[in-house]
Amino acid sequence: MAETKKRYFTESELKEMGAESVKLIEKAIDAGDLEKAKKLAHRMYSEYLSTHNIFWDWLISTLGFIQEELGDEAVYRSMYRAFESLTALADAYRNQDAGQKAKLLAAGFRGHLTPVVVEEDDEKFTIMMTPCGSGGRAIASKGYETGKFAKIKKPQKMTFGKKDFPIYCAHCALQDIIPMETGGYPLWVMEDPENVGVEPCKFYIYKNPDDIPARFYERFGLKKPAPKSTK
Amino acid sequence: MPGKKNRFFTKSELKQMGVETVDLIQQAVDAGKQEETKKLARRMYREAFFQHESYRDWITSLLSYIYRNNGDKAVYEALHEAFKQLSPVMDTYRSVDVGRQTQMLAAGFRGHLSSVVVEEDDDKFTVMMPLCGSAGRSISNNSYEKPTNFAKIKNPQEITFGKRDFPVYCAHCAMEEIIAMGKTGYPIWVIDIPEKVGVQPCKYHIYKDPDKVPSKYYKRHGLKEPALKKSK
Repeated sequence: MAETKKRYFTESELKEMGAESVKLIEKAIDAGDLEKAKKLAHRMYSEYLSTHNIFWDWLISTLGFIQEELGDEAVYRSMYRAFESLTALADAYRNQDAGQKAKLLAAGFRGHLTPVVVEEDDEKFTIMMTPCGSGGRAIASKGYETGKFAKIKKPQKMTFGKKDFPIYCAHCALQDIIPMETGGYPLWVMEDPENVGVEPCKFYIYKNPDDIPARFYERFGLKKPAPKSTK
Repeated sequence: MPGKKNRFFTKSELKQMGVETVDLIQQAVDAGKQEETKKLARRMYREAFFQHESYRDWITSLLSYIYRNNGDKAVYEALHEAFKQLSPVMDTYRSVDVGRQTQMLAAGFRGHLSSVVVEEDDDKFTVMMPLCGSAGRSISNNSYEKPTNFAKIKNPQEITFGKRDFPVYCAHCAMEEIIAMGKTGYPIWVIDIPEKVGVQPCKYHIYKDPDKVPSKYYKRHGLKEPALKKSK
């Protein structure tokens, strides 16, 4: 037990403790202390990862609570409500060319603090997190095996038709569904693997949205829109 | 809109797009590219910021859903369920001295992409986010007003620190105190809630001697302060 009156830090140490890591990195570079800049970059990574993981842990727990108290339909509705409020963001994204869309999605995935693979072929981009820093990290934590996290038992739209689907991963279906329902075209479409969280999910951005295969609409009970000549 | 066959990026650009920014920072430092390093540090900040705001808003939206469909008690239960899982983190806090606890709390706050003020006096540390990067930012950008319209808890109660019309997300701060006190009798930190939540900073106090935590922080949760020096 520490005695009172004891001071642990100097004024300067207290000030440094409060400074954002990004600003300290810039300061270290300006001072020519590159090793300190490297160390601070790792500190920044750890700070972000810690908050990221607390957030998803909290999210998964809350989704599990909604499922237990109100059922699967409420999980769907609550997530729909959460993601439909991102309409403005979706519209801004939709107005970019396919290259910029790929860059934005890759940046979003890097925000999950995980490496990303980006591939390009004639008709589309394929973007994957390897491993998935979002739902995959929760699966790798064994939280679903121990019962800490809930699964959605019955196959349905938000489980991509799979049974025993990790509840957090259902948001990926909503990210497909909401833009299709509100804007006709998806922002991207997701190919879920056989072993979710073990193999990577593949996110496709089609250069021409009319080339998106009909199966990506049909799996949600939707119809592929008629081709637009203006695209 | 480019036609088919049009390639936007080279193989090398595609590869670079997938590399974690922290790794690119290391590479830039090693190559002595100072301006590039700064640029990448800011990029990493933006990536984390976007993710942070998305997660916080998603959580707030779910809590709003629970509040509007199942009421106050359900919000309490949902938060209790979520934060009791953080019990191991609390154990880690308790295993280190108060100086280290303060460093850990400040690091946690920096993870909300906000600057932090840390003060020390004879009895305690006070840690604050001048503009709270957690809930404060969503209050200041009007997310509790239409159209986003996140819920506020109308009636004063334990998870609102006795305040009326309390932002639903902020209730987790009360739960962090409740869980910690419930586990060992002592809190890890206690919070002074300002008159204007989200406008003025919340003050987190870590007392150097837990027996010096004023009784008002226990009483507001309907608890008694533990007997002095009782097997902490």
